[in-house]
Amino acid sequence: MPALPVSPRSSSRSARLGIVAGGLAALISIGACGAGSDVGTSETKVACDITQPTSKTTVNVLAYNSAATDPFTNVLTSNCASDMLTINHPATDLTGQKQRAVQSLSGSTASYDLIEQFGTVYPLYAARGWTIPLDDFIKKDSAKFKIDGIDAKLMAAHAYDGKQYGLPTYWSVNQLVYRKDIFDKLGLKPPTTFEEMRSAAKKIQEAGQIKYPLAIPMAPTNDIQGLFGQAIRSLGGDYFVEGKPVPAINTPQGVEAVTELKSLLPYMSPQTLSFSSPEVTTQLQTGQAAMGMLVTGRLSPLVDKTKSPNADKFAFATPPAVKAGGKPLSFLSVDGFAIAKNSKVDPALLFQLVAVATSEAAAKAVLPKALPARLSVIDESAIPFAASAKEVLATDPKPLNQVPYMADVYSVLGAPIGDAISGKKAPQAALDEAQATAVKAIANAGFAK
Amino acid sequence: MRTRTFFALSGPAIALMAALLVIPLIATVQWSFQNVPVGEAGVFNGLDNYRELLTSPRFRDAAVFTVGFALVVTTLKVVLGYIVALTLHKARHGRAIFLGILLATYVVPTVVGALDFSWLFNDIFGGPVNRFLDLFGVQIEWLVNEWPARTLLAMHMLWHEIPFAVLIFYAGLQGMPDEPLEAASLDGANWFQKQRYVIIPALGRLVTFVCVISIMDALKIFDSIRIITPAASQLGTESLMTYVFQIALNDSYRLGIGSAVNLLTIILTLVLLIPFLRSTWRDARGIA
Repeated sequence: MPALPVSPRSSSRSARLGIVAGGLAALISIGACGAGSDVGTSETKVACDITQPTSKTTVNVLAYNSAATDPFTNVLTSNCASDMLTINHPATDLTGQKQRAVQSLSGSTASYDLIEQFGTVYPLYAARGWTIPLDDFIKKDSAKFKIDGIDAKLMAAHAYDGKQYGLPTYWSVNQLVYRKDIFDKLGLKPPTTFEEMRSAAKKIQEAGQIKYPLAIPMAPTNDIQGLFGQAIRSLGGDYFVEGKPVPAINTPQGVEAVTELKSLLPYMSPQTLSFSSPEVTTQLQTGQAAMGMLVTGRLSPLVDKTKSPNADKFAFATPPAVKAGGKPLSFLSVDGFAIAKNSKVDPALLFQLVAVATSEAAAKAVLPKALPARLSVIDESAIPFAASAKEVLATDPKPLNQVPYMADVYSVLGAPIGDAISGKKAPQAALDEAQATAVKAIANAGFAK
Repeated sequence: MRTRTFFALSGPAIALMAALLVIPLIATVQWSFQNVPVGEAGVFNGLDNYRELLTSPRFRDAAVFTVGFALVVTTLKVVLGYIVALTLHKARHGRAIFLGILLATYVVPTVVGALDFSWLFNDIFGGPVNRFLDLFGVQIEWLVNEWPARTLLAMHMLWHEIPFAVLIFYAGLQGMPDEPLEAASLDGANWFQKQRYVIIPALGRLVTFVCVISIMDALKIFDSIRIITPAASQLGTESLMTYVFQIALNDSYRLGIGSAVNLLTIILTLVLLIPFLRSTWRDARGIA
């Protein structure tokens, strides 16, 4: 079959058009990629009361970019840099942060001097001797930086082996969020147990308003193992045998936790096992769900009128316990800054920078997107979920176990627990598998005794 | 060329290759025989990593899915790419516009494309495809059931990468001389016979090229799975790369076993590419 004749003129015009169209597509695509900056900006003016270095010094900050973390790092980059002090904050996401932190902290010299840290990772950094204890610096500079304004319970969430390894920036707990208008119309009250939650969800379903009234992040990549931990703790168990590097996953409480979580599935979207917080937020924002559970740091978009058509209809409460008399289904997550031991920069200077980043002014800058560790700056009347968050905090939710193998165990639990809740495997069989993989993870990480 | 000149010119490239390719490969081989706790020196553990992997149902499922996915997607990519290229080759008008649109799907970053693509099938975000299927009484839980989820991933990869095959085949068709086709017509060959005995053999090297690239791309599928089916191990869509990410990089830094997975993946890739590499070698040597 001969090729169709194409005149050189039309061929050349076609080629030009093709190039233009392709070029436009490429430009749009490149534009979509965006590019990170090494230095963020903050409009918050902070008196950066530090002792400026006498020689040229560069401080690199590793903190993943998010609405909650950026205000703290931006306060540093905008207010503390000088002719002698350069502060870099390269853009990264959470996964990138985890990888870079380990690479930098475990090497002989630091790529990053200040490290953002959180519950799953900081005990490992402390146990390996990668971050330095801050106790002496706190004692020396506490009055100057009003460090006692940071809540003691939140400070404890960055302690390891009796020493303080970080200063907290912001915190989250798991909170119950519900549509007050729907609950009022149907005469419902916020559930305090799973049974009440199932009953409320059933009534909403039967009222014919919402097909799947309940929304909880359950993705096995990062959510379901946390939910399982909250459920097992609500029932009086825990991830580990107390004080020992021995998992306690395949216990009767573990099986009950899985069974109870599974009992919520009929009231949730069939796709729920692929949902993380963004999908749950969307379900609630768009009226596809009437109640859900989200961590504090994810609640701001729900009450933002520019993002949520039902912004003023949401109410917040302490999450239910799995069973009556049990602890509410929550946990405490606290982010903060630590100092790399392998940094060549003067640790006293680094501590002062950490203190500025966690100062009262920095804490105010993060509102209302997250709740800072300085509880006194939180205006409960201005942030709809703040009072409820403080109520949950008052119930003493536990942070993840402060053990250096937490991340190793956490990462291997998602798949088997997901199998149990999805029904792919029987709960006991799936939890036996989770137990075995957790034991192996602890051994591989070198912490088995 | 004098030896000194040769080394002066090629030295930087060789040094770069050694630094970026050879040294990491040696480290990977070494670590695959070690338990490497995060931030600490590895401890030799013989074949333990390989033993664990080869007896792990999760690894087996990931390997079977990855290989099956690569073969199916490559076959579809070649067939559909050829059909679209042929259509484009015959088109009288609008070729440039169509090529431009095709390029748009190809140049969109995979993560962005995968997110947009998954929303078409996700009820939470409107799910226009689901709504369209609803009109015919068809309801598919794309993100919950194994085969729909696998199909979704394959459709995304085809949507994203078919343009590459189309461009290659289209260029090949444009460059074909008319004489063999005219001769085939004179011999009475019909349309299918011309495709089978004239055009496809003439495009043979390009088909090999597309297959090699496609198999390599499909074997390292990662970002679209993370975006479209994050619950991969539950849905049977866990690939070797998402598996290795989960065990070696996400939270648990099992670099030893992660290295073993990577080495097994390299071997698997070479095995799958052998027929195509052999064909290329025979072509280069002029063996019929």
